[in-house]
Amino acid sequence: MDHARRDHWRALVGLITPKKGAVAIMGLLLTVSGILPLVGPILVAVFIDAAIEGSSTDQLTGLAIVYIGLAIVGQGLAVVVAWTATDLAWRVTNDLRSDLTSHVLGLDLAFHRRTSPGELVSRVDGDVTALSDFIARFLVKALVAAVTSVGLIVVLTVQDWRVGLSFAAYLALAVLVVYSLRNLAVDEAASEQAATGRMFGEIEERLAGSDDLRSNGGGSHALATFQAASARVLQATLLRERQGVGLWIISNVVFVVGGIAALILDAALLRRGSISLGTAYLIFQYTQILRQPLEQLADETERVQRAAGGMIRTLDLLRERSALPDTGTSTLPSGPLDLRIANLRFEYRDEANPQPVIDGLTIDLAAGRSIGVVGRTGSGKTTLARLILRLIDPTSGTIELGGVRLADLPLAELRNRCGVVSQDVHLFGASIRDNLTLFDSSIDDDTLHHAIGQLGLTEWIAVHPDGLDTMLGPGGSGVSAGEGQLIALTRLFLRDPDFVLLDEASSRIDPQTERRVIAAVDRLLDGRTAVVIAHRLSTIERLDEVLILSSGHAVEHGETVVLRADPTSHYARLLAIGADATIDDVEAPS
Amino acid sequence: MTDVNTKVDAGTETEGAEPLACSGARRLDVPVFEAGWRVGTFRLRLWVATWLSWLTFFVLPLIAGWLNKLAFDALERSGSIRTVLIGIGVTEAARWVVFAGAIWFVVRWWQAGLTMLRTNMLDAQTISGGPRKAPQSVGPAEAISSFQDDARDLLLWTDSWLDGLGFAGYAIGALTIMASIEPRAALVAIAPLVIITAIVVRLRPKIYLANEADRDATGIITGFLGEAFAGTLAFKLAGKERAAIARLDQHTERRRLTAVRAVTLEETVVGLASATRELTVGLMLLVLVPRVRAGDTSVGDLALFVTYAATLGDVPRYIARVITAREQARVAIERMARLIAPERISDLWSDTEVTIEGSEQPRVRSADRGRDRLDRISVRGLTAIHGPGGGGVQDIDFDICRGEFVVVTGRVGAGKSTLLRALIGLDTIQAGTVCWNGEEIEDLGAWFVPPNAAFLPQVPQLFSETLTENITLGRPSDRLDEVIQTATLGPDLAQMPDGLATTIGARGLRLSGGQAQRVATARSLLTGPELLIVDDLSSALDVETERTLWQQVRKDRTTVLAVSHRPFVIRMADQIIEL
Repeated sequence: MDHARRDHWRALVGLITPKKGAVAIMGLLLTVSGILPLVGPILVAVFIDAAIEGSSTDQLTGLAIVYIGLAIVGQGLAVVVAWTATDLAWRVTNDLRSDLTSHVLGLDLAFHRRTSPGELVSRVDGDVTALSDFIARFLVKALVAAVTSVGLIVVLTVQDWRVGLSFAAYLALAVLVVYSLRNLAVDEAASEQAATGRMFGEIEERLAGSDDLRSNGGGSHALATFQAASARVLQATLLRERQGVGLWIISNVVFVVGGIAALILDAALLRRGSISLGTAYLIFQYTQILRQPLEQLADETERVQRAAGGMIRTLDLLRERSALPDTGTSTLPSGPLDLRIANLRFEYRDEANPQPVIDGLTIDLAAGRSIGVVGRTGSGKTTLARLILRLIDPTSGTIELGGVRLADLPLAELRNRCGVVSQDVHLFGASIRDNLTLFDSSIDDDTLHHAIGQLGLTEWIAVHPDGLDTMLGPGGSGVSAGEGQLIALTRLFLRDPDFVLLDEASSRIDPQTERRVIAAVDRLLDGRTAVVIAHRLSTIERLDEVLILSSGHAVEHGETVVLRADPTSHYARLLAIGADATIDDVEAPS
Repeated sequence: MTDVNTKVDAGTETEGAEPLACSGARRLDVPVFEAGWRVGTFRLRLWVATWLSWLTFFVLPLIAGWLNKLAFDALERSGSIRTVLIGIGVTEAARWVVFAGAIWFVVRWWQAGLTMLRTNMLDAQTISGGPRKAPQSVGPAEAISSFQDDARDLLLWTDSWLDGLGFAGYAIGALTIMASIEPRAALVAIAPLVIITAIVVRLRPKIYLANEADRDATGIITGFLGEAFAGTLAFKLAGKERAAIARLDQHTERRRLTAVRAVTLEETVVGLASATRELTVGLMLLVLVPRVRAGDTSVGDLALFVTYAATLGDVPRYIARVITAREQARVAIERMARLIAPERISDLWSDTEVTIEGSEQPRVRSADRGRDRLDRISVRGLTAIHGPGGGGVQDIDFDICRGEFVVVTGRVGAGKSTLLRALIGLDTIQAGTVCWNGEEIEDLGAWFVPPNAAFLPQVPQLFSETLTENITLGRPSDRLDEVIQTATLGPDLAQMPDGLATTIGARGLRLSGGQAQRVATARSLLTGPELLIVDDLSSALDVETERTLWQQVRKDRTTVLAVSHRPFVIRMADQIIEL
């Protein structure tokens, strides 16, 4: 427990240390702005003593003017400190945001299925922003306060070593109290943030599903659900605040006791005549000079708690491991890749009674050949696709691509060589160009227009006033499901994959448009290895081989021409019903 | 010296929000004061209690300052300070108690205000019809920042008034006491306040612009991240993760610059204000020189003046905070207004019945509208154009009679979905009429809801609740078994460990596409709607399941309007609308 708690602060130090130059400049600025607050009270003390001794008006006026001058310099410096600290904080946390996003994008589908995008945004940007806030606003103040404390002790020791010593002891006690209280509310802050994150995640999915709620009269229920979540957040906030108030009071006690002790000390030292009245004032003032920064810091414990909570959640996120270890080092041969699947078996782990989704499948597909896969919903088609793309790992058996086992391949290498279009197309609330290139700015317009032309999207883009730069609505709204699939196919055409997998890639395109698309796809598949999963037989009739799947195993697998010619084959019986038919039409009782 | 500028904000601290899409295009006349007032007085008793405790918390240090003066006067005379020290201890202890009370009130008050704003926004975004209904003008990831940051920013504005009262109480007390000792010192305390406040006010527009730019930059980041995480699979499959990160880096780098600018300007204001404090002390010393020389001012007086001046010096900083809070509240309101019905900004703070504490029952779901038996729907000249490409339908006529099965079919982009969505008021129509049994319907959205109609979208959205809640949406569940059977969900349920109590994960992603489709089907059937509107069932279902489903649905001759390509569905149709 304690170990885990220390981890997040160590991680923070690790983030900052690489920026050595900036840290050095900050150090210098902090030292100066830590010392300046000490000078003011000294001037007042000197003023008091000078007045009592009957110094000249000029001398007193001079002291007052120096006081004013220092005030101006000090505040100017504070602005410079804020500027430098903010810059450093954002540089450091931007690196973290980048790493986190990269990490999250690399996590497996199961993780993404149980974590909403809204929650991830709050973790990658919200939690990390809490951290940059902490660095820019808390850490800097804390360090300035530390410099001031050291300065205080030095100044007082010069006045009277006994005073300096008692002050050092007092400060050590104060810091010890604050330090030991530091982590008191971290757990409460973390659970508050978790409750808040869940609440916003829920709101986000209601907003995403607002059409469903509106048209099915679900609005009131959404409000009730939200208010219940909101009440849970309040409970968590109250728990955290209770800790926060406690901390604030304890830090106050320390300073009130300090002030009273200083006055008692003053009285004793004055009676013995060992200090002047000005010094008496200075001693009292110095017990209070740290009060404001420390009260502010106590105020900021909330920020610290948030940052610590954020850091814990960030480290948790970084500790999330993909179920698919990306440890492969092999490379693929160039050119088309053959696909060998041997005794493949897959079952979902988390289900109560595991039933194999893929059950002992063996297929050899030579490089450059294409295979069409048909089968009912639940026959394992999509699972097979996911296994081939290594979105999931098989329970047993192997898949080799280009003679290399998938687990031995770096995921980046695998995905770079595979081109995929799946049934569910994700579109982004970004420009049409970004939707086609997936934010890759290295793709030039000629390549883009060529791909667009092949799929007949030119006209569709032309009707948009800003052409490729037209922004799509959130989640790509305003684009029909069929148009979405055409966009996804264009993404495929923009690449030069050696292995192509199409999973119901044209299921939402009307039959007329699909014929045009198929012609383009045929050209693309030429010379590449391809697996095409489809409902409609017309989609796969020109492929080299046919595989009919049922309950995760091959009912039939062979050359398309051979199967077509054999009237006893499943495939031939399907064809007899018509090109628009599907496997279901044969097996369903009619 | 006693500092009164202590404050614990109960709001969430995560920064950021996104661009104001319509800034410039439509400048709203934002009633910032009214908004702040309504949010404040929404829970009046809590509000008053918060004010009283906060005022007390601010004024107590006046007493502590006076006691310090007495202590120094005693030291100067070499008298006893015991009574004074006890007084100091008691005053401080009282302040701790008051602080704990203030926080107890303020946290609840904050939560009440936040919950009200969020409820009103969520209501406008999920209500089916009526004047409060707002269009979905921003994406969910972007809208979230209005729920998170903008709601907080409006509360911060109202919250700043709390300190206002406290400061006013302190300032009046301090200046009165100072004037009674030395009137010139009180005057000197006021002068820097006026000058610095003037400078701070001049910096105001710059701060406003800098903050707006910073929010824009943050909004782009949260928007981008939301889109990117929702589309992780697309990046994975295309091996474009690095391109996404490169784009994110561009955005975050831009925000670093905007954030630094915003913070620096803000700190300049804070710095100027803190300078006031030191300046006041310095000027006071200057003014007091002759008196001190004459021996008229005691060390205690000096200590008192310095203490009071230090706190008074916070006034410009406070004024700056109020001004900033006001600007941020204005921006926040404008941004929240995007989620509220156009021209109905006051819906944001309309007094909603909200529950704040978990112990209260959440707001009871309002009953569905009454059933209007359907005999015939007549659509005439329906025109609905939307989307970036100007897609949609134009001048459509058709009739649906009770018990009919009407299929809409056509090519990609022909406007099939738009037709359905326009009919039920999800998309706006530019022209045309819709009559229900010969009577024209004004508010399509309010009319086409259960039990009159139910809609099954092409890609239905489910929520992270139990299956039961997803199907009933809070309605009484007496027909639950029936619709589960109709939607052929039985076998799926049998496989789930918790059956209907199974929670289905964020956005229902623990279900397969086909399961989600059938859960949504059950949801749309629950009230036995007069008209069932279905946008292409086929994409997530296999033919056999779809055929069974249609047979089940048509068993009791429910009137259906459906989009489909499937030949067998088209064969079942009583009427085909080809677009």
